[in-house]
Amino acid sequence: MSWAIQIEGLGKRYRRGAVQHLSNNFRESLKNFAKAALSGRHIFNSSKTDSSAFWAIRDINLNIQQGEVVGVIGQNGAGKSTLLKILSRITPPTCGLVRYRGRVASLLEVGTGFHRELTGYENIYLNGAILGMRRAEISRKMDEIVNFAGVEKFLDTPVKFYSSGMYVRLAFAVAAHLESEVLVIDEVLAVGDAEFQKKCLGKIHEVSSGGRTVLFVSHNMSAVQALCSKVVCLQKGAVLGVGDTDEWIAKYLASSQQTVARRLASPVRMGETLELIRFDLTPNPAESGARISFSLELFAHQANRLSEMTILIYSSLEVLVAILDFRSSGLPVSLAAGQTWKMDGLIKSLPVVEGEYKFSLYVSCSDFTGELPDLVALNVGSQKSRGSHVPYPSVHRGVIELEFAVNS
Amino acid sequence: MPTETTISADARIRFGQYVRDLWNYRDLFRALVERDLKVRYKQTVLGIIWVILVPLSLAGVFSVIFTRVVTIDTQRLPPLLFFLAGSIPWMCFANGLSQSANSMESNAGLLSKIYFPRLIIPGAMILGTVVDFVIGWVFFNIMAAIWGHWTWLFIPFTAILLVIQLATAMGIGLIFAILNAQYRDIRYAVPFLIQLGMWISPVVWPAKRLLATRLGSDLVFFLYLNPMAGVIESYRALLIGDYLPYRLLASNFIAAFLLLVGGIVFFKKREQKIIDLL
Repeated sequence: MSWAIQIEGLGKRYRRGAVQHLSNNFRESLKNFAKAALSGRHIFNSSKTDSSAFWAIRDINLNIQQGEVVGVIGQNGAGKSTLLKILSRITPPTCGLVRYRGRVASLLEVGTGFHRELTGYENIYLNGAILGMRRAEISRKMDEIVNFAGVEKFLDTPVKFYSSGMYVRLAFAVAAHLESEVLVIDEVLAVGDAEFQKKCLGKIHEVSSGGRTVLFVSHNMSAVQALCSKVVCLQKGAVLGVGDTDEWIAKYLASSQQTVARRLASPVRMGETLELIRFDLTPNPAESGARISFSLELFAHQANRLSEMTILIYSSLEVLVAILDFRSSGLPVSLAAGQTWKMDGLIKSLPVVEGEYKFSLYVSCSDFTGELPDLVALNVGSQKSRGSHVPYPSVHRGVIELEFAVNS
Repeated sequence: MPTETTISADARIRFGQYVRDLWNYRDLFRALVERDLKVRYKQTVLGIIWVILVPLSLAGVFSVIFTRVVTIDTQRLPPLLFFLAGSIPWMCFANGLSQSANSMESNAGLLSKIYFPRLIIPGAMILGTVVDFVIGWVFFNIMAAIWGHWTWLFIPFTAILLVIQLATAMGIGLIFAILNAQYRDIRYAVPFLIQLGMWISPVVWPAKRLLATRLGSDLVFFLYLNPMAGVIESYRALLIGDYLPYRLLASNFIAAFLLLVGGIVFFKKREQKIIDLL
């Protein structure tokens, strides 16, 4: 097998707030500009010492073989997006170099370049051209694209009338049919329904089995696990490690688990007037299958009406495990100004595989509707082993620990 | 074996490679021009009529003010026709300039997500204005014919004049497009500069007498540097049946060419760096 991408000593430095600084200080920059222009220096390489400079990525070395599907993981700000932007030639590196063979197609955002006023049909041509496809190539693949997206009936409708699902499907369909040797994908699977996600994963599989190389960035660890043969783990702009998917996902999760505290550190605002002041889970840590009691306290700065509230439970792989819907449990409720509203409850059993689970809240009140992500974390330990066998590693056991019996 | 590409901090793209890249993306060029044309007059009542309405009303106001209030020598031409010869190319030039100057900022979403030769964006903007110009030009020809000032010479000369006009708009537009990424002041400066430009170009006044003065004299010097001066004066000379201002036109052609080349060089050198600033 031959290499597809080689990265050597790659680094990218940004200047924090460079833009604001310059526009606030137009006279200053005009002076610098004139000086630089007169002395023949490059006007965009300010000679000022940059105390505000920081390296988004630094000293990256990677070798990616042809046909590999490589997952890029890391926390926000680890440099994933910067790496992809350099690979797709959007922004130049500050130092180092990248070599690749063939065309690189990048899908950093779904529907980039779509125009709301244009019809689906027109947008396929526009988007295809933006991605670097020839017109004839698009015409040849039109049927395939339309089929994949499932928008046959709406081809002549402006995309502003599309549902968000249709929009995303069409956008991914165009990009997926681009014939390139390297495909770079960033977080596109975060959108779209389950069936479409499955379709996307299938398409990516198909792409890679055809000998094409795929670079895949996602926060969704189960998608990375399902797709990638190899993982690059980034931390603070440097490569923490490269290698086996399961091994590095586990290491990454272990290193990132401290990010969500077990109790609410400070009050969380919901819109202008409502505040979440307490969100406790007891016991925490808990054993798999244990009774978990939860306790919530909301403070209303002004009169408010809480119409919906839901607790959402996510696994560490960002998979939504379950929700607790309180619409039929005392909601809606009207809160007076200055009132503290309390809710206590009990999850009779939480039979999940050991690991960390993050609790979020979805709230709909007078002036706010939305999700407050990752409020508290619950650490679930494994149940005491019932048989003589050592359980399989948790990554191979899904999310739910089912109780079952065998008839004998 | 597919071609190998290297990305590095100091990888200067050769001019030949640059042109080849542009050629490979020619379908994008077409798609963007199509997009802008399709979208521009959607959900408007008057639609394409706007293209004629704006220069026509400008010329209308000028012909009232500059015949009734202040008198300007319209060189034996019907005032409306005289001012149309100025306002139609000027409006097209102004639109092309302001659109291309804003183009990098207004397409920031696209530019920061996908790679393609960046020159396509302002280029497509300029090309989009040609369609508007053709509509205005046909209207202008009809008006000229009605007043009996039409000549077949319009057809070959328009091609040359259009090239000068587009090259100028593109050259200045490219420089502004880059500067606008870093200094948002450009956004406020451009409409003002366009207004200023209208008064220092012979849109409302005839340049003929000024041209008759000695080349060394101060004001005429600026006409030779201003490509739009030659464009507008040539349309008027054609209407009158006069000699074309050849010397002016030649000088303007060189100025436009230098602006275009300078603009492309400036743009090419900085197009990558500005993406982080958008």
